[in-house]
Amino acid sequence: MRKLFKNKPVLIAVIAIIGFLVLCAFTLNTRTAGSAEGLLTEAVLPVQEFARGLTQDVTDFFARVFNPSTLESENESLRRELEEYQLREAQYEETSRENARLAELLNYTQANPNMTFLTAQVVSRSFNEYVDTLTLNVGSRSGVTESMAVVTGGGVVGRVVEVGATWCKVRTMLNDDMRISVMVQRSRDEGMFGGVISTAGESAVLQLYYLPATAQLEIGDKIITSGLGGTYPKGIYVGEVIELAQGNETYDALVRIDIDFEHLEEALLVLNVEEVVSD
Amino acid sequence: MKKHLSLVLLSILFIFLDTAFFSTVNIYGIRPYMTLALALAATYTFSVQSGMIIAAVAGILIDLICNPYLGLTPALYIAGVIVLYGLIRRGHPKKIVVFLYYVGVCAALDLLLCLLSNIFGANRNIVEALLLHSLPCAALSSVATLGLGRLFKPLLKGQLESA
Repeated sequence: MRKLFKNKPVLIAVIAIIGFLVLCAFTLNTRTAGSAEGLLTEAVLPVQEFARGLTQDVTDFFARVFNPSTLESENESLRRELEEYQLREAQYEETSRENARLAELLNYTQANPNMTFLTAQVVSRSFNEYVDTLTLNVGSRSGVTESMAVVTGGGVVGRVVEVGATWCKVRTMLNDDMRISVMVQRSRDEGMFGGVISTAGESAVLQLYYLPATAQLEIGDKIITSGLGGTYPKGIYVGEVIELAQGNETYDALVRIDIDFEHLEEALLVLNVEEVVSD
Repeated sequence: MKKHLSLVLLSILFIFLDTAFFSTVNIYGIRPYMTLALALAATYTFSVQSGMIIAAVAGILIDLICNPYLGLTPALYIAGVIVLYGLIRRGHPKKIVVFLYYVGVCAALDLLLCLLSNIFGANRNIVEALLLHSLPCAALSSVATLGLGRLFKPLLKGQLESA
């Protein structure tokens, strides 16, 4: 063992690893990014956005090539004017998809008039399978603060864990340790939501538990945030009950959230919630 | 000079491949870790110092771009580089052995991440993670590492000739 540590590269590596782990320990909690970190991230993110846009173009191209129904029309237009029509089709498709996504977000903001939202684009996803994080292109300059709730029309995406001047990082509900205090919209029973069961395509299934023993839950019940804990304002749509516990499960029900986390391109940050005063 | 330039350019390309391309284009989460492959290939072909520098710089950039914590990725990458260095420093083993070393190092790092996520509240099945994620990702990363090693051979020849 002593021989190993006499080896210079090993010694340097051990010191570096300890240093990085200490840095990791200091940066684990929800925080505002330091100036050096913030500047460096701001310098890198525009390139990251470009790389992500390029990735989308490449995957769209291959999706069109392997989809027979579009291939026929592409072949026909390629007979007349080859490249020009392919480029136009790609531009129109991208614009119409963006319109559909933004329309969904607009419907969501109009359905919640007492909340102020900030629309943000996803510029980066987490690097590994075990920690799910998104990086958005808005930060403290746009009013974003730590622990802010992030949502879409399909439900709660997660909360902000790190804020820079022009960017922020969001820890999503796909992390097993993320929990939200929720209630059943119909019966007003309160419980806890979190812990991923499965993710598939455009939805994910998570657990609902700690409901009162007298709770009368039904399949199809809508789950909303209860407002307890202070992070997520009350009334935000979370998901829909798809399965009730039958026997000895650790959960009371399974809830589906209709968010395709892997292909999420825009999200809403809840900036402000106005108290609704009833007369 | 050529070697350093190639490593820098490849590092930049692979950082964005890892964070932008493979985070979206993957098969049920199975994808190669290109920056790790580059660090391991540089360690095997050139020197452990090259591998450690790539591991540290690329790892910290990856954490800056897309992880909420800073330092875990470079720490894991440096650990992978130094483990590989320990395995190969007694002589150059056969290619298949080297490939198995690569797979072992990559799978161990991925599994370590899984264990850490379990410590912090996740509830993942370790065996399932090993069989369905760590080993396939490690195999892909190792193939990339071998490919990069072959790519570096002309640079190594040039380095030896100039020495």
